[in-house]
Amino acid sequence: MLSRPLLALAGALALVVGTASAAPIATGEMLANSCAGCHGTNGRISNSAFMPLAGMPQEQFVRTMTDFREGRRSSTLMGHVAKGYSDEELKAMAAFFASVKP
Amino acid sequence: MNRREFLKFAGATSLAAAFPVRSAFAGAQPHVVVVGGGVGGATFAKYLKMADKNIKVTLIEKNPVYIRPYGSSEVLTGHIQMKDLDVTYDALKSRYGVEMLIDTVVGFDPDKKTVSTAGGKSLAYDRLIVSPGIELKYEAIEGYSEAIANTKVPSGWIPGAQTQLLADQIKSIPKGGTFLLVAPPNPYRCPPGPYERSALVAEWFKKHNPTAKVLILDPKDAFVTDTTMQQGWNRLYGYKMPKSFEEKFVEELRKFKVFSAQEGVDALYAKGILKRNSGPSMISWVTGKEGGRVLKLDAANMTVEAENGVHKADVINIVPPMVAGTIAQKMGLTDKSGWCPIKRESFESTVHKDVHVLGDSSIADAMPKSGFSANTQAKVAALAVAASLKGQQPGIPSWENTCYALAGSDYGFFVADVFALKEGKITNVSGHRYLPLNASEAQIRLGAVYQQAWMKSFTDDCFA
Repeated sequence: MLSRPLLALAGALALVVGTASAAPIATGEMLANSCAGCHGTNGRISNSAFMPLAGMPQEQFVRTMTDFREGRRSSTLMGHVAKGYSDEELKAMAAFFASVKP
Repeated sequence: MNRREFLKFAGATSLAAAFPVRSAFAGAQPHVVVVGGGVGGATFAKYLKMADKNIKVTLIEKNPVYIRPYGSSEVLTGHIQMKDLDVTYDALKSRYGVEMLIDTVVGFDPDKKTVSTAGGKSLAYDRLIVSPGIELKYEAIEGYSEAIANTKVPSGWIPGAQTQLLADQIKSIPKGGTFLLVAPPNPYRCPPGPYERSALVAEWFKKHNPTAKVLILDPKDAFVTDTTMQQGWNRLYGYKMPKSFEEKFVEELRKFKVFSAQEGVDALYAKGILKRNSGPSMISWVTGKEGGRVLKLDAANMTVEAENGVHKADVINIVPPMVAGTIAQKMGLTDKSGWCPIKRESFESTVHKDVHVLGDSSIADAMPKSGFSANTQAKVAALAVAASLKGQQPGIPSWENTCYALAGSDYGFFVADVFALKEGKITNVSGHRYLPLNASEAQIRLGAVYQQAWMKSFTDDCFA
């Protein structure tokens, strides 16, 4: 398992590599921490109605959240939450979760 | 009590207070002291240790076991028991190395950066985190007091013995009796809470006392989740939607293009968005405009005087006005509103340097006073404090809130927001906050499934 500072670094690197946007955004760690209230600390959860996010491939996280955001996939609540994040932010969160051991 | 008096008060404790052990010499392990082991304090302690395990974190909390307020209305219907609300601090200690001190803070010196406790300890801090929740202003309602709340007219807004008392009282309501809930003015902890509690009591009545009634007296004309909650009442408890809300429904359904411009109030009923209820409603909501503001309690005669008249009930449950937790007031962290002003990026108090205020006590703009808000505020603050102890500026913050709410055991919905800092204020950046009014039965049922799952996942994220 990566330590938290390394995870944060992974998120920060993904941010630098993955975006051309001028507006600065929060780190993947900061953004992903908001998911933990339902999906478990660092996205680790078992035996729950909520989807584990730890170790989810980055592309899968981004695609799922984008589908929720654009209404291509129906949801109870996630569509609302997804609307709060830009493409760059979703990528940063995805990089964070992809780097966590499930 | 101002800070000086609080310090004088602290002087009554042991001599140790005069000789605090200082841990903050340059290069020494920094010490962060957290006052209050609720959602904000516990989450902060855990996430600060996750960010940097070399920081010494001491959590001071007066109760050895936390009684969680979120979901505590489920005790009233017997869905869960009081013991199900208990949360221990074991994992914070064993898994994260947080030092627990079961004690009460009685003194604070922001210049020397120390706090002292009733148990005679003095702790020097590099950063102090204050997360004391709320204080209920029982006396704001004439005739009401904490003593009456403990014995006859419970509040139960901070869970404990009053919650059990209220549960017992509800079971003893005579056939066809009345449960009266006095709703609080804004701002208050758990915005959908009084209305969810009313719904759960109505659900219990439906099974065990079907002619009994729930009466809500409210100083407000609106509340968070007011459309979806009333829709639930309408479908489950014979509630008749007020005209002004029928219009709101039509407006929202047109906005989301569920209704055409030609479809109006009739279509709400034709399309099953609302039910036409002809019989008596189990729930009545008297708004501020209708005279729902309560002036006086007569506990001996079990009556409540509101602007629209006197109401008699078998059980009266009052959610009184509230302010920041007492300790925040004594530390001088509150402003004239009774709540604590903070810098948004770090939740550092604007009154005292190196002191942060989290959760219900803080003034957090658009964020509701909820457990989820306190949890994400704590994470923002933990990252900011970890950065600041390394001499760095706080990063760009991000917060969320989700309040799940029930209108019945299988009928769930929510308010959900993502928040960002915009022009110096914490602002919703996710748009529409509520379950759509044309949500399917499956979505509503899933709302209740998630509400129940959240009780565990959320508690684990804060405390384990």
